Amino acid sequence: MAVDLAVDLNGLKLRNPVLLASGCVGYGHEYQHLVDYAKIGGIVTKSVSPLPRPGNPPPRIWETPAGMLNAIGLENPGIDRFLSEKLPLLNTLPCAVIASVVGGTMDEFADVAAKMDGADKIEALELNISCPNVSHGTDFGRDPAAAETIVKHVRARTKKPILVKMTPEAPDVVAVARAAEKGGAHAITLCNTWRGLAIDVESGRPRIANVTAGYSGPAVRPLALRLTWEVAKAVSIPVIGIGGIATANDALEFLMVGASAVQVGTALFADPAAPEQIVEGLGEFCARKKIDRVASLVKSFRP
Amino acid sequence: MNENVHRAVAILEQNRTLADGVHVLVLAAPGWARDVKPGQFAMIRAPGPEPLLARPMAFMTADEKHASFGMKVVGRGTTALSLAPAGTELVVWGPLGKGFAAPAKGARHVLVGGGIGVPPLVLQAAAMTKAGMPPVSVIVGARTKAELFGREELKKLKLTPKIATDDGSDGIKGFVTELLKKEDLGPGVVVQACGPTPMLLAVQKIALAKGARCELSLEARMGCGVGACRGCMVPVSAEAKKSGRFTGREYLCLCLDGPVVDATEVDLERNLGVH
Repeated sequence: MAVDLAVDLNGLKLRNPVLLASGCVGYGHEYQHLVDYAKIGGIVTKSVSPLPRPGNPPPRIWETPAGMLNAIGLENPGIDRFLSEKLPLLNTLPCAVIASVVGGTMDEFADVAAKMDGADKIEALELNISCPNVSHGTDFGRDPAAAETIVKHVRARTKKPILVKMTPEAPDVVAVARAAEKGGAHAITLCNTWRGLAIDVESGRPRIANVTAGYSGPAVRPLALRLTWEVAKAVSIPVIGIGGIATANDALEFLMVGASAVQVGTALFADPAAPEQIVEGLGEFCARKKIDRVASLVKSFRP
Repeated sequence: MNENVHRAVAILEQNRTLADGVHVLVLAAPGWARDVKPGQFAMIRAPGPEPLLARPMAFMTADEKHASFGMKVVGRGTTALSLAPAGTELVVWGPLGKGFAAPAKGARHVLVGGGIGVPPLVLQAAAMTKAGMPPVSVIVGARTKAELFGREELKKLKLTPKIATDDGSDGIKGFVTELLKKEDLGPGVVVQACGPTPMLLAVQKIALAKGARCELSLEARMGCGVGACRGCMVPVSAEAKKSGRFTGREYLCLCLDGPVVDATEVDLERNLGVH
């Protein structure tokens, strides 16, 4: 049975609903010999800021049960070097490319977004208003009014579809998602990491130089799934689910609660074949259930 | 990224215990380790969903059908691998990173390995011997005799290592750096070393003070092994920030820019300070 895996996220068409998450696939070239980009829906680049950022001091990562902590600190080459050094390879990838955009102010977000406009290969922008590892990284993501304002502000400076990557730590995640929709977002990416902490008890010092760090991996999956369910019920734009997705079964859970697509992050580190295996597994599941379009699984959850 | 990197499902053919917590893993993976350069590493994932991340390990031997790695049990990942029986399937990807410089004609090469740092130097010694330019000295160390990696492999190469052990059970009682100090170092000598960071800091000081060229293979916690997660950063030295491949950079990304770096490129004191 031929299963149609294609999804349409408010005009952003993907071969299948599996995207690789920002911060986990670099700018594509890092995994070009390990991931078959022709088999996945697309990638979201590491966040790009107006100027280069060296990132946080090491140690930056620490593994925890069923997950990991990271505090990379938005290390990136800046928009100008992104366009000159990273875009040429991205242009050759046989999948959708979404660029993650970050800044310290609304104008910085908008400046980066505007500079992306000339790059035709970039099909959409994902606003990272949810980085837990830099000061003020989640300012725009915690407050509905601020989220709406920044989306509107960037909206005015780019023609590309805008995805908004949410922080799960907003006091009212649903309100922020609604505000992003009102501001003109095409889709919601839910969600970035939770702030965690790990300590070396021998020294009494933190495992991560930044002290707190974003927590990701299978451990957070039930938390992200619950948020995805709640947000998908509350907004009419597509939701992209992310949080500990490592298998096709995990991806199916997110689709069923209302995600139109998913992003795979930490699981890519654990096994570069995971994203392709998820795509394969989605097809197998649909075939077994005699479902001809994967998109029809969205919101099929029966609580 | 190395063009010949690829993912494989390898079979753990042997899981040899040299001493308590010290293992040699022999993996069967036809074709996978064909083009390994000494000093390069692989990401090796323990079986099952946990622990999540693969562990970086430097190749000790590599040929058409097999690859072997030295491993010391330090945490959850290495514990899980130490318990894996022969026949276990392991997800691996590699070869990764930049290895040691190939032997240079006319140069005198001194290899220094401590503990878990010995395995990549065994592969370097093999490559140098094969190229007809064997190292003038191979200095290896371990806590105790039973924990010393590469004894058989070096013997096969007809190389007689100079040995240091913490307890004096083999060679001198003390550190590999004491043996290095006795070497005739200077311009025209290339010191290539791998081991714990405090040892590498001492090797760096000894070799550079005598005017030798020095390459160090460092270690760091890694998430992906391919430069995507940016987890394995090492501070660049003040000197290397001014010129060369790391101009203007605060940190190098060890899985891509290393694990072998020139000793002048890294600030190991700062690296120790933050760990």
